[in-house]
Amino acid sequence: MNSRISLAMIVKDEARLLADCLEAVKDEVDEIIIVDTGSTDQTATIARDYTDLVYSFTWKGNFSAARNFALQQATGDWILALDADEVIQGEPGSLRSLINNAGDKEAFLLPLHNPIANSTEEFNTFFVLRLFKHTDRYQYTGKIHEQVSIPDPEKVALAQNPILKHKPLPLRIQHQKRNRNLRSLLQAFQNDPYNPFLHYYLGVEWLMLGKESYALPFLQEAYLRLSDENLLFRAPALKYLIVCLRTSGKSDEALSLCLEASLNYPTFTDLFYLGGLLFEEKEEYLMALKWFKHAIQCGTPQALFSHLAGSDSFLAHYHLGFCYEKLGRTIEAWQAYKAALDSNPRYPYPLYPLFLILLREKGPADCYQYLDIKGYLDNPLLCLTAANLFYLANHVEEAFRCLDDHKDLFPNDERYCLNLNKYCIYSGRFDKGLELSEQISQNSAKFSSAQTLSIIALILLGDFPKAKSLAITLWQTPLTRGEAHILLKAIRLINNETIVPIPPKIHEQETIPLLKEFYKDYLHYQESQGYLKSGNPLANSWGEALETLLKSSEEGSDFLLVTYTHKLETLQQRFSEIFGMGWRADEH
Amino acid sequence: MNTKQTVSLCMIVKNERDCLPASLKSVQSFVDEMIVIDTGSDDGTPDIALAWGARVIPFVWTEDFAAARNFALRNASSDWILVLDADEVFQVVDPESFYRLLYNSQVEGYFLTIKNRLGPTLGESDDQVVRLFRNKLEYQFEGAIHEQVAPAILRQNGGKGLASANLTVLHFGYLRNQQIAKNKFARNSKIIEKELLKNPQNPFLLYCLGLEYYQQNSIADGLEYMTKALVTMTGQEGYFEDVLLNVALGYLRLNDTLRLLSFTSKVLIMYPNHADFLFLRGTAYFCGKNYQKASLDLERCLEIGTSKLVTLEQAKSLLKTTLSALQDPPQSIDFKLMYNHTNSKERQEQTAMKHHVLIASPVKQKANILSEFLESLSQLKITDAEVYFVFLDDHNEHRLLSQFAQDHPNVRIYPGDLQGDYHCDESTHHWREELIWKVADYKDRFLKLALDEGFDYLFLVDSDLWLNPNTLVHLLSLNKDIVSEVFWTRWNPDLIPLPQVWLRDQYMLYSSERNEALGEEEAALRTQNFIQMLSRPGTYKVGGLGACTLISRHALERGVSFQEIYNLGLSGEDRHFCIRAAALGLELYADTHYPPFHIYRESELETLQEYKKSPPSPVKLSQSSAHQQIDPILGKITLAMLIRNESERHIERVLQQGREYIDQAVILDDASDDDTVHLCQEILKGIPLILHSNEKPMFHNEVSLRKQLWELALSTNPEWIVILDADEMFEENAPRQLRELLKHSHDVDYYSFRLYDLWTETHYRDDSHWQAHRWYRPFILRNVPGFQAKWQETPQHCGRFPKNIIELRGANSPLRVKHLGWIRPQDRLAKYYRYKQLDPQGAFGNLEQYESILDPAPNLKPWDNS
Repeated sequence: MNSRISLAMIVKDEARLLADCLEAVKDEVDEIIIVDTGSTDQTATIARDYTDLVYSFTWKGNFSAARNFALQQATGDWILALDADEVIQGEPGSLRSLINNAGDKEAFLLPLHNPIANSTEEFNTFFVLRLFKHTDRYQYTGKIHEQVSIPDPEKVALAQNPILKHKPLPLRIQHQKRNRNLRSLLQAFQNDPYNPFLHYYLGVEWLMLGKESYALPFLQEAYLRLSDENLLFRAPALKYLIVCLRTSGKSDEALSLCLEASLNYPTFTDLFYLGGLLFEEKEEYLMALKWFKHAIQCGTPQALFSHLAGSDSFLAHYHLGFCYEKLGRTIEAWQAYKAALDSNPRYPYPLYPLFLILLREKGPADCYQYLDIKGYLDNPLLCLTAANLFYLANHVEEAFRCLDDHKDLFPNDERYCLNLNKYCIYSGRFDKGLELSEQISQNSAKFSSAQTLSIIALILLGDFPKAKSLAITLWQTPLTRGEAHILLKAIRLINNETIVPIPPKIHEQETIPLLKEFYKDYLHYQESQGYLKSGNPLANSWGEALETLLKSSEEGSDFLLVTYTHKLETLQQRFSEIFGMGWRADEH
Repeated sequence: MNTKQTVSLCMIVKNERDCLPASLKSVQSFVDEMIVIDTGSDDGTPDIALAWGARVIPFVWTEDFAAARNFALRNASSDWILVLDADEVFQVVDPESFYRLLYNSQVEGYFLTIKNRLGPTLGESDDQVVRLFRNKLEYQFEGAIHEQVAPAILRQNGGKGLASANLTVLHFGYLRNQQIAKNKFARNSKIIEKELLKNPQNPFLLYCLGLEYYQQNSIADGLEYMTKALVTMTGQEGYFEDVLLNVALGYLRLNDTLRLLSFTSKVLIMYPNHADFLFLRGTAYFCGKNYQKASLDLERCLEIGTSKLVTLEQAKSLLKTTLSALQDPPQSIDFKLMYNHTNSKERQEQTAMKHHVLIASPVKQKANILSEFLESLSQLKITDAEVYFVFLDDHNEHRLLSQFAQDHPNVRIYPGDLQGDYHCDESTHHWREELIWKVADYKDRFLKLALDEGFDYLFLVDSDLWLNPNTLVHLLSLNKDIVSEVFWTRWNPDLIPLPQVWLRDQYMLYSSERNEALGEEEAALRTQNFIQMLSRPGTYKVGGLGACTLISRHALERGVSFQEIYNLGLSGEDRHFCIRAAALGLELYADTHYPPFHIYRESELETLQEYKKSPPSPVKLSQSSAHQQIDPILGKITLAMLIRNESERHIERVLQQGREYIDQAVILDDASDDDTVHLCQEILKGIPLILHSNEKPMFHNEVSLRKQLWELALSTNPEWIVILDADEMFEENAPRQLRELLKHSHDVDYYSFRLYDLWTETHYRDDSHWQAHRWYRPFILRNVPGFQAKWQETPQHCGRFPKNIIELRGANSPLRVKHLGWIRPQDRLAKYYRYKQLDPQGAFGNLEQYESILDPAPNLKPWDNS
């Protein structure tokens, strides 16, 4: 006999998310029950594309009531409960295979991935009870963060598949939701002040709203009162409590908690990771090393522990590297950063310090070679990052090579074109730069940036008429008037033409940041051409023009002064490296 | 002269329980600190080392002797280093000549003579090794095995800086029991084989490995390595001769006469005047029945007379045998008999670690009294001793002595041959002058016998004593030259019992300056004091003694004697003995732990039966005396504790437990700024409490606080002082047991316990940095009158008690102490920060241990509550 699965959802104004959710789950369940609690958008319409069983339920400020109403409508043997902002992921049929092999189990905890940042694959894993036998015995309780209670823990099993992926909401909506939750929670709390789950949820909500001092007593209570039978809540409560103590400036209390709890939960990786972070912040790097290493040694903990992906691998390695550097153990730091990159290439941050070590220890050419050989440059994200790092470190040639040698990685990638364009121009490859600019279509968001680069290239080539005409085109787009204004003025200055006064549509404050950027890029160019040889005279003129423009404002002058000082120091350092310390004494 | 030159003993040990005491004892008086590096004993060696006052530091064995030695050096703080192994004994010299060596500014290190007792069939050999050298960073040991410090010293001093010292170390390593030897063999051979892998042709390593096999009695294997070593050698090596000798000894021990002959002949071409090889070839010829040639070689050997292998006597003896064989050739020669010539010291060697004791008594005694005496002799415990008996049977009418000789091995009875007799009746014994000197003569014969036969000790006992079974073992353990066990005699039934020891002259029981005129009252008071002192268990220096006296070989060699000193008017041979001994520079001691029973008159035999059932403690004895001036020891317990801001911590449960076993508390508050003081007063309500609060905290200077607490505790005239920290408590069922323990501790002055670092309420920490529970440390001390406290003067980790309490009598208790101070994680953090602040370099502790405080996932073991 095949068991039937009913999806039971309660929704309100979820038009934006509902389709994705239902699309992913529709083939996994036998019926879909949608209970709408008063949407004012297209939610009900979208729901009807997937099911006829859409019910309207008058909201009474009680989630459990709505959920239990949905259960009443369901006819399946099992209930799958989802929220609209969750998407089910996994092998087709994995839900069905779970219940077919359920044995005497009557409920399943499913992994819920809650992302911190999508791009770097940092997410927290929680387990939630969302799949359970459809019987009168299992009802929702709790006005908010309602739960189905399964009295016999023997009946509950942990599933690894499928995964529920939580979609992050825009911050504004998150806050709205949190405030709404908070109100309901506080109300519930008044009626049920000893409920540890309410303490937990209240703590989390306050913490997420940035109110640590409000969150702290709730989290402390939750951790104290929840027993190991509720490890699903106790474990995250513990983590949130440590985080909360840390952000409240009570790092010693946080550390004490790590020390104590890690003895009770010796396999709870995240405690060691958090301990490491706390020691790191206290500049106890030796201690931090021990704790991060132990986190790595622990590996991924049992599912019941709320786990931050990477705290046993790339995150821990990254922090290990930092601590090693602080202790002056460069080689070990290098290895740690490398391990971090290797275990998660989508997390690019370890590349920054690794790059700095390589540059310092081996110089730009070997640094490039190392990154290339290790395959980091074959990863588009790391390749772009590395190129940018080279550029910022005044090694425009290597920045150019990063991108130019790996063009196959970036088919039709405008971001790539633009970056390469920049590196071409500031490494003196004006023609190639101009060529790349043309590949960026007029409709692209990057078009104006490409145009700006083209104009600078033309100035450096001495083609002032063409530069001027492009700049005038740029002027016609309101968003790029600042750039256009600077470029036009500079062209006049270089050609010793009279300066037109600042048009009223341009505020000086707006042009200064742009000027600074241009000037910094100019410096990269000059420095990549070498300190001692006088470069392209046109470039010198361009630089002088930018300096003149900067000097016309106080902020610009200050900026220049700082830049000069910095440059002088760098020069002195170079000289002393090349000629020894003696030359300075000769000057005096 | 310059400031005092100090010496640190550095020793590496692993499972050396048996031999360690002898080694430490031999060197104790010459060194200022003893550093014992334990590389993983599981037989209680560290406890023994601690008991001897050594600093014990665990070290993870890395199969590298030099590494371990250098680790020891790092921990040494004196000007000089003396390196010994646990199976070595430092031969006593006079301190002056020892210290003279230390003040020779020309010398950086001294060669000492190591006398190796190689084993049953290999005799003895000497090595010169640098074992005493200045404590300098540059002087480090080199070489994973057979490690040496000499190369480093020579390197630092342009090839100079070393000298020879007239100091000898006896190495008994190869005589110890088989198991230890085997382990050592396994350990050494593993190291050597490892080195050989790197360096397969290294002759020195091959030679060492060969020696290891020899010491295992694997002669054939050893010989193979010796031969291998030999073929790779140039002949310039310093140990070339040793290899040659060992090859020859290998053949000898394998009974391979032919090879021995041809090999020694070859060697003798190179070294024609080598006494050892002449002796060995002589032996080979002898075995081959070529007595003519044997006698020629042996004669040459004796002419040269510089054999390392045998003494001249041994060579002579073999020559004698050879010459007589020449006259009258024997039918067959048992090769094994040959060894007896090279092994006349075998008996001593086999039991070298045991004391040889001659128990001697001149006997003229009634049968019923003598049988008690003899029975007590046969019941003497004789651990670590090999006991021989000698009696002078002075015209006794019974056959008890011969009976005793039949029942026991090693008994000799000499007949008394001199005339003279004395008369005794129920009231007193009447001694005649000539009788006294007859007995003196008997005793002197015993002295000579013991000296001639090489005994380590002579135990002279009168035959009217009943000895406690522990007497001999205990006296031996005292390591004194002359010591008597004190017994008490009512010289007349109406008098109080008096001891057979005195302070000066005929029988003066009080001390006074020569020109000090004492009133009768004062003299009586001082006599009381002396008697009171003797009635406490202890070992005391006295001026006169007798009748139950252990005399060391050193004293015998010095020339002690009972002979009359013609210009001394005191009567009794004991006085002449004692005064001569003092004149010879020997000290006399009286010990009061195991008083013998003096069967002074036959009527006392009944009392003896009572006495045997429960030998009274010395204290009870003195109570029964007429003086009655000593307070009974009831085991009154005073708790002394240092506190500072404890209210959030463990003070409550600690003091609650204290209430169960203490009679009084002394608390020193280091300027708490919370309500700790009030809390203590509350918890200890009803118990006498002396609580002193300092105005300013002094925790930066722990030693001054410790001293203050000590003085405070002493000022209350306590009996037993328990010093606990505010986070330490005994295990759950301890209080009752403690009371019992202390009530019945007459011969113990301090008790040591293991301290468990609890990490949670249920688990304690156990890893390389957390081993407090593996050692015993003192927590409870008797208030010993006259004890002069000396402290380890370091600001931190100075110890809770004065450092010299180890001079008192200690014992270990199996009860455990919980250290609660690490349980609260915030305390762990705080202590970590505090150590880092107070001792950032780890000068007073161990930096790695500080850093291990906050380890993730420390190794915890469950605290067994049963």
